[in-house]
Amino acid sequence: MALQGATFIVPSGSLAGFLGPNGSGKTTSLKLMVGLLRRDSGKVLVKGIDPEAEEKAVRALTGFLPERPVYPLGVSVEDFLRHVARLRRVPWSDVRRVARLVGIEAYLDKPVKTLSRGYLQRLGLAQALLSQPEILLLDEPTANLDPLARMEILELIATLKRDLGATVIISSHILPELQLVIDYAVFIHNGVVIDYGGLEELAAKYGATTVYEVRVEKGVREVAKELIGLEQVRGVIIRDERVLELHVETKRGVEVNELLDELRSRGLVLDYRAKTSYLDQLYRRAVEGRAG
Amino acid sequence: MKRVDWETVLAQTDFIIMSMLGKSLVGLVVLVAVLNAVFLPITGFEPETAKNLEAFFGVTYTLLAALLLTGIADEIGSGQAMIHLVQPITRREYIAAWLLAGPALLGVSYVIALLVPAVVLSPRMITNPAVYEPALYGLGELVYIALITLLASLVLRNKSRAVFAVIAFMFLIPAIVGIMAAIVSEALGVQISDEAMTVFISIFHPVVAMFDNYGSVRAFGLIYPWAASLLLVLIILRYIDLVEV
Repeated sequence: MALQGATFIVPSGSLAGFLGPNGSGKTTSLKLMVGLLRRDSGKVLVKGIDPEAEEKAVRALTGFLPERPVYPLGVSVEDFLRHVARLRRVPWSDVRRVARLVGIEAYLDKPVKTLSRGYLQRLGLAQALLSQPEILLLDEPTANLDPLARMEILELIATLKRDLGATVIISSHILPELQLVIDYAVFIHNGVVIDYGGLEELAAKYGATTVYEVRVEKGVREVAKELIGLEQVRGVIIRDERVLELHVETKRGVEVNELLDELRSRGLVLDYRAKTSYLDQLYRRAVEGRAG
Repeated sequence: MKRVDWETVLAQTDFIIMSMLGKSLVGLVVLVAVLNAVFLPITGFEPETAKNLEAFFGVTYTLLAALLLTGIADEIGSGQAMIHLVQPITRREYIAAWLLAGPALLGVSYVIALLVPAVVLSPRMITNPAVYEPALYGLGELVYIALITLLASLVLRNKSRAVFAVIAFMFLIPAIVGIMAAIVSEALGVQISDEAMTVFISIFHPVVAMFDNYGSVRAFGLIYPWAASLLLVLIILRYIDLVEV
């Protein structure tokens, strides 16, 4: 994939989604960032370092989980992680700590070839996390996983980001699931970065709305009345006696979540969920804006 | 020239020997060493005979090198190289590790093959300097074979194709050209000199060709095979930076 104008900034400590359809240039960008690919022209800089000239320096700074990692199958999980620890100049004791962090401590003595896909991804995270890199690059970390394993991995990534304070960039073409964990987005389309920014900032810029499905115990009309008066709510549709649909400005999503939580604590709302992917909407509008 | 960090290279070499080559292949190396060790005494085990054994070793170790060192083609082709190259290791260090790992395993096997029968059956060989000359040439040939195999692996990025290329380069091409030369020589009634054939064979087996010491080639001494190896190293180093995963 040819890249052009793929410059973007991700603030330190963010959990950023690097988003675009298959073939948009996500993997190419990430590989260029760690010097796995050579650029034909232009300049690539990661924290001011040229990965082509100083591949080792950039790789020491980053942890990278490739899209379809292929591991040496003839070794144990511990042997592999110890090797990575040796290359990254971290003590072997860190292997156990990181294995515990990603939930594969019990599998350390198992051969790599016996791990399930979900646990192979955990192994991939472990190798990327050894030496606590400043930047964590995860290329489609949930690809080829079943839905349960996908959510487990995403939750794990969010926890790791919170605990370790690293800057995390996750590339993905599956936008809905990412909106649960990321706080920043970079949109790429046909090799061009079309926009990037905090989610709230992007939502405000593109006027995105989120549709919630809200289930109530009883009194659906009373709940609807309570919600319709709020300034962040754009509309309420009563689906049946127990379900209503709530349309809100995405940028005010946090406030709406708080309000729905409060209604739930008062017993008026049973549960709720964001039904539509506003990231999809944002991406579409960003592409349309670029084309227009 | 980028600096090579030998600590990193050795760490990667350890890992290759431990895992990439696999227990079965390490077992194969030991097996070949033991077979050679058994075979060696049968041939008389004198310095003169030891010289001829180089040819036998050449075949077995070329095949072993083709099996072992084309593992790098497997790694690059399958994408496994990426999981190594995302760590703080440069391409040069990664390939240098393979350059060390292959000859190290083959070299150990070769030394076992020479030392075991020597110690068990003919201890006087140990003190005979004449025996070391073919052994040193044999080790030189191993380095050359390793370099050829590595280059084929890097260019072809496919284990099967690389194995075939190595076997073709080391055996098939010299054999076919030799047969064709004989046919042409017979048909035209032209005598092709031993020196000319040796120069030709030395392209494929520089150390052995030099060791076979046909006049003109002998004049190059040790320079020729090592110059050929050095040239291969330079080609590989030039090629490393172009390797993408």
